[in-house]
Amino acid sequence: VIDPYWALIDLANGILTGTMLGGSYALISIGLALNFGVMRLVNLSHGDWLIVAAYLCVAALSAFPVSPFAAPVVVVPIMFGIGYALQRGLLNRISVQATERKGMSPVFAIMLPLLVTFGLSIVVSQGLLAVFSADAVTIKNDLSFSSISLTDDLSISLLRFGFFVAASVLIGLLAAWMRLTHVGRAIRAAADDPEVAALMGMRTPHVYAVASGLSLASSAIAGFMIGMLRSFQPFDGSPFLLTAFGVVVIGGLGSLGGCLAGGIILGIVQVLAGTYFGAGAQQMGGYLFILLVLAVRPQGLFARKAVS
Amino acid sequence: VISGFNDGTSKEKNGIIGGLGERRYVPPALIVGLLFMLCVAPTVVGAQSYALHILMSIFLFAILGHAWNLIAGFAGMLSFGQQAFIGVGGFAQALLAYYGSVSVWTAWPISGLAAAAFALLLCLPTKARGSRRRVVYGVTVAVLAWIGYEALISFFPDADVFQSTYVRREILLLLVFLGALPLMKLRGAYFAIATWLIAEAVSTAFNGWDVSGAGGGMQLRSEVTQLQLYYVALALLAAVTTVIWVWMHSYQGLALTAIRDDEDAAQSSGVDVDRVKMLVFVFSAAITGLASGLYFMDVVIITPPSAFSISWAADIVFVVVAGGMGTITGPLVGAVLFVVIERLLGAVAGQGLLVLGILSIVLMLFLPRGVMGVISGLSNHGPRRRFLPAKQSVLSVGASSGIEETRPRSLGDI
Repeated sequence: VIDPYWALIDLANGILTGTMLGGSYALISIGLALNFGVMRLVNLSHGDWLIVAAYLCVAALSAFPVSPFAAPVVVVPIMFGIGYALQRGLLNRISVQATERKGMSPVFAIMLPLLVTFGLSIVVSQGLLAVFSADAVTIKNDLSFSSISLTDDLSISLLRFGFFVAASVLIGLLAAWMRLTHVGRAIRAAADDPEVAALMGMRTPHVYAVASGLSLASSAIAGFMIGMLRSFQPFDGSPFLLTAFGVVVIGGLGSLGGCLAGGIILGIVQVLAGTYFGAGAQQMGGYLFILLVLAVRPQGLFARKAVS
Repeated sequence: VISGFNDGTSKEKNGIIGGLGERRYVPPALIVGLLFMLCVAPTVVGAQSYALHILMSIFLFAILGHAWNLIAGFAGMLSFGQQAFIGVGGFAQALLAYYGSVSVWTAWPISGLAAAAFALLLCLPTKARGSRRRVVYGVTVAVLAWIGYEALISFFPDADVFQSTYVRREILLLLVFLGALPLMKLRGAYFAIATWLIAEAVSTAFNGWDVSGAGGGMQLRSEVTQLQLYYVALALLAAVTTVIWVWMHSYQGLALTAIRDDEDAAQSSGVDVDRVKMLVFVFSAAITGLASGLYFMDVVIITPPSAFSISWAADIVFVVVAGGMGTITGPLVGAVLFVVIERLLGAVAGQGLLVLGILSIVLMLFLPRGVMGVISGLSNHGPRRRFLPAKQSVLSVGASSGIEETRPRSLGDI
């Protein structure tokens, strides 16, 4: 016999937890969405950069043992720098324009960025292994078990709620920045038509590099979150890449607001699958849902154009 | 039909990277000599020696490279999910050998068959276009069969091969879902990530399946000797290389590269795109499964994390990228480079995979044709050129060529 009260609590809990989980998913996919929306680049090393940021937070905190929330202040600029350099040094050379200049076939122009960023993902994770060893680490904090009680039977994790708010605020800020500032407009222009943007006198390599820096800077906050919520190892990047790609596809390619919506949908689907079909179904449910969206609506559930 | 693809393509746009192909003439005496040397190698270096093991690893990675090169280099389908076939093939062999109590060699063919069957499932629905009705029929039949199976095991619980209600439903749902998924419709990054996701999903299913040892995996009885593995791997490699060579020089192979270079143009020129893609995908999975069967006979233990690891994709990508995508000799050369760097240098200095990763990025940036691409490029300008028929140079420019020549001899020419 099913008690309607508990059935309702299960459902409410699933949706609530799923929404909070979706906030973290949105946070880890902002960087990928920026890359995709502006550069049309699917960065397969995205997940590994999240782990790099998480390790940098741990390293910064072991050097300066202050409050864990001070870590992003140091790590975000570092990651912005890495992103800028990476785009100037490597990713600009494999863009569609660069492959066209080199006279490569269109098929190879599609493959090259995927192959190179896939190789980059191996390099980054192996580099992490060489520097930090394979031991699982985490960012120590005393908030891990704090929660907010909504009713007697419903509560949400304080950290998860915090990161949900952080994701929403970050997405709002980025979207506003893209609309209101000169550099933001330049990024949108370069995203819409790189050739015309270059003809108008924009330094597209620089604009792309700023976008890539922003992408890794948001990944820094996401990496900080990963470190706060769980323990991680050098090779933990690829599941995050798959999740982030799923979120970006569900939300409509490259749209920042879509990240939040896609994250929440994926989070709710996963948690409900876990609630009703057992813990193992959570992961499988997520994979199947992403594959389903890929197959049926590859333009995303809320199709939109370019970056918002 | 094929000659039409030459029209309007500049020299640079030919082939996957630009004029790519093997124009180098490989003398048959060299091939025979090399094969002979490899056949007698065990008597020279010793049947139990590490050198023989290294050679066998080279053969296996060359086969895996061939398989991936077929779908990525020749067909233009960039997959990061070959580990799905490695895992499915390896586990099928281990399951048959263990529960069927047969020898590992008897169970070996199932590794190729299971991987091919799984690939066929992914290729369904076979027609990428206008497939909705087929999907509905297919899913209905699959779900009815599933319901029949559930009914059967409610009367005869012993007939349940899954031995757990949750795992049974999970795996059957996954199979129905993958059968209904039009994977071949996806392009570029979507295809790449979808194949990767499929491998992860299958891995998740195997991780919870007690029959296949759950997370702990299975053990294969190690009755095989290194010498047997060596000769079987060599024979398989020789067979696969020959098949691919003949295939890529036939109408089918030309159709394949035509699809890679412009799928819509190939379709409108009368190439059965869906059929050719399916054929190459299933064949690639079959030889990947066979190679995986041999690999796990050698390492004895198969676990879901080792069999479905994304590092397989990384290794295979390096093998092909280093050797040269879309060339037949590429995977052979790439496998030698891979094993030398990863197994030999990596064992001495560590960081083998880090070196491989950096090297593959550098290669993609500066030598996208790989080692064999560079060699064949050099030979175009060197004295080797005289081995090519005179018509070849006209063809390779790609200018209004094909009317009289309907079967270009070099792969890069279409």
